[in-house]
Amino acid sequence: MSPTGKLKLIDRVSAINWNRLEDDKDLEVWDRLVGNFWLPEKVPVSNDIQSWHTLTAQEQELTMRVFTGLTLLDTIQGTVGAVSLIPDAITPHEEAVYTNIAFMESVHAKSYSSIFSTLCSTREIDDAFRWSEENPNLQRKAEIVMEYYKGDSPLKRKVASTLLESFLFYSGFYLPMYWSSRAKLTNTADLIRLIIRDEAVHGYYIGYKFQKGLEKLSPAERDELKAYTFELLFELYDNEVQYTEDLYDGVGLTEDVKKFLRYNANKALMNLGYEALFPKDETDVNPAILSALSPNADENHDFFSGSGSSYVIGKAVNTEDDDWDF
Amino acid sequence: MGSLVYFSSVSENTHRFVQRLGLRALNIDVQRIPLRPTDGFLRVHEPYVLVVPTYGGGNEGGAVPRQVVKFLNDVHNRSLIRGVIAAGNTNFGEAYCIAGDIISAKCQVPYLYAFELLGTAEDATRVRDGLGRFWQRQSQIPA
Repeated sequence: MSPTGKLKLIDRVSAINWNRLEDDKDLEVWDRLVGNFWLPEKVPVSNDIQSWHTLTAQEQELTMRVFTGLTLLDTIQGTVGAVSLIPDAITPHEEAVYTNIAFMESVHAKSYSSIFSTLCSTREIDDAFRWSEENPNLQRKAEIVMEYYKGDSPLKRKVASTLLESFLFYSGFYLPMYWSSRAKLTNTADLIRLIIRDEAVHGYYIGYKFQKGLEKLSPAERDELKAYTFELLFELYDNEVQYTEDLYDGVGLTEDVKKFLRYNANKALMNLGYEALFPKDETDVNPAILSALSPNADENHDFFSGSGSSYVIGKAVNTEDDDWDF
Repeated sequence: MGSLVYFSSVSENTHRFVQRLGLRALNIDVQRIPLRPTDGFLRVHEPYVLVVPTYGGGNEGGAVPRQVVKFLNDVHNRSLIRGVIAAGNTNFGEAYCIAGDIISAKCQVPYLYAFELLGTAEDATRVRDGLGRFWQRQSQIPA
């Protein structure tokens, strides 16, 4: 952190030349992010009003608390997290990708407000935001991450950022997937799925840049960062478990959410280039949740486990480029 | 015995998964499709299972990496594919591991396995054992 306590700005800027790339990944990810661009106004959340009123008061309160928690994380990531990565960027195109990520996080943060204004009263919204300000475990989660964003290690910042994108959101993302699996708030779930898709690209990219940074370090420095990553993951995981209990104990879903946490913690580690930590029997996410996340995830794509007498040919897909020659 | 052909971008995710399989011990040859079109062209000469990551998913196409499309557009290469394994991320919803669906449908070969990102230890064991049995069975099919 600079002496004034302000975030560091980049020292010098050259005009960005997208016709001279140092890392093809920058353009690939930029194109992907732009192709995936969306706005909350496109999702007909108002079709969920009837469904919203089938939830109990407790379930409504839980849902709003979950969404204010997600709003806080998206606000941090848009206003501080992605922006703090810009001065550390290795290429000018990487800087541009972070500006895209920052903007999209602000879109995510805003989209929760549009869900609120569609489904809830002003008083309920204010109560939920107050809860998020006062919940120690949510505030702790924000503090831990903010500390690293303000710190002086570019690679540790990327670790914190990847863990936020690929792990910290999922205690919240669980709930709309749960409602969707019970045919409730399905339009809201469609909107959340767009956020989930974006976070996957963000986590992948920041994790990739972390690994590029690691390449330049000595084996000892790499070991240190690996140890740091797992330490931070455990610290965040312990906090996440308590936060999950605060939210979900009342509806009896805590254990199910924890599996989802560990499943995503593994994916966050993989985005950073590390092997999964939690074993299979601790990450066996409820199939209904997995299927709400990805309808293809529960299809049988394990030919090896069968008798081998029959197999699956992929279903015809019409979304592919027409650059095949056959 | 057959071989394994894979593509991995500079992120090296799929590369790492393939390395963990330890296929040479099973006598399964491993070949990598070149990273960039300028890096030359891979031509294969024995039956293979293809391992491929799914790109992005979402509004645009391009789920199958372009270099893989180019590799399969070659009639000879295509004639030797026997199965496909795809990597992806469930965050992409309906597009999860869709590269496997696309290649399986295009080439009319079985979609053998799907895994996320670098794959877990369980995924690696499943695929290693599965490929061993797969090629054993293939070799028993009369010509």
